Amino acid sequence: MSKKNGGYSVPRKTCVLVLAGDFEGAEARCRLDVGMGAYLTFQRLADAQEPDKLEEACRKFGDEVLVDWNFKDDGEAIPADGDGFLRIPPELALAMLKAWSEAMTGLPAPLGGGSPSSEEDSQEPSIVGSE
Amino acid sequence: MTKPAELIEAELVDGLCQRWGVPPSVILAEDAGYVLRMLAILAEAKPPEKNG
Repeated sequence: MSKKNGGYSVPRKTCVLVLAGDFEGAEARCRLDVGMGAYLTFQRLADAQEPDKLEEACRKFGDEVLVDWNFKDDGEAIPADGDGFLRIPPELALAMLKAWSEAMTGLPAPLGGGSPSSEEDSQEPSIVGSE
Repeated sequence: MTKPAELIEAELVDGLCQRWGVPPSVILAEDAGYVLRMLAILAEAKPPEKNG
């Protein structure tokens, strides 16, 4: 087998979450090619309303789903991983989890559960594209 | 009153197991994006239930 091309990177199925309102200008690329088991784990942890489980969900999301983003803190890039995800405001983290969940189905409120609508909906992320 | 997340998950996985005749391990390894999108589309296309 020839290795002259340096290997082949398997393309990932991703989407870009574009934030609005208070978080305007922020963009995050997230993986869409996750298994049912991982997806359900995120749902369970995020719905738990317990700080420990929510932290676990955020860390797992940052490590396994988040690919890249343009988030900075005092001019310094925040790493797109679990540690970085735990550095952003909780309302932003939850909004991203919800938007990613919607991106997974292509429709809002995938499993009939989740958070109720609020006046802050317009500040939540939107999905501008997937590939 | 809403169902707890654990019950929603169990109903979803059990329903898919019965529909496709496979064990939960197979369902949990499936591509979530494809499965969830398919279920969402099927739910959208389902006619509204009649009362009575």
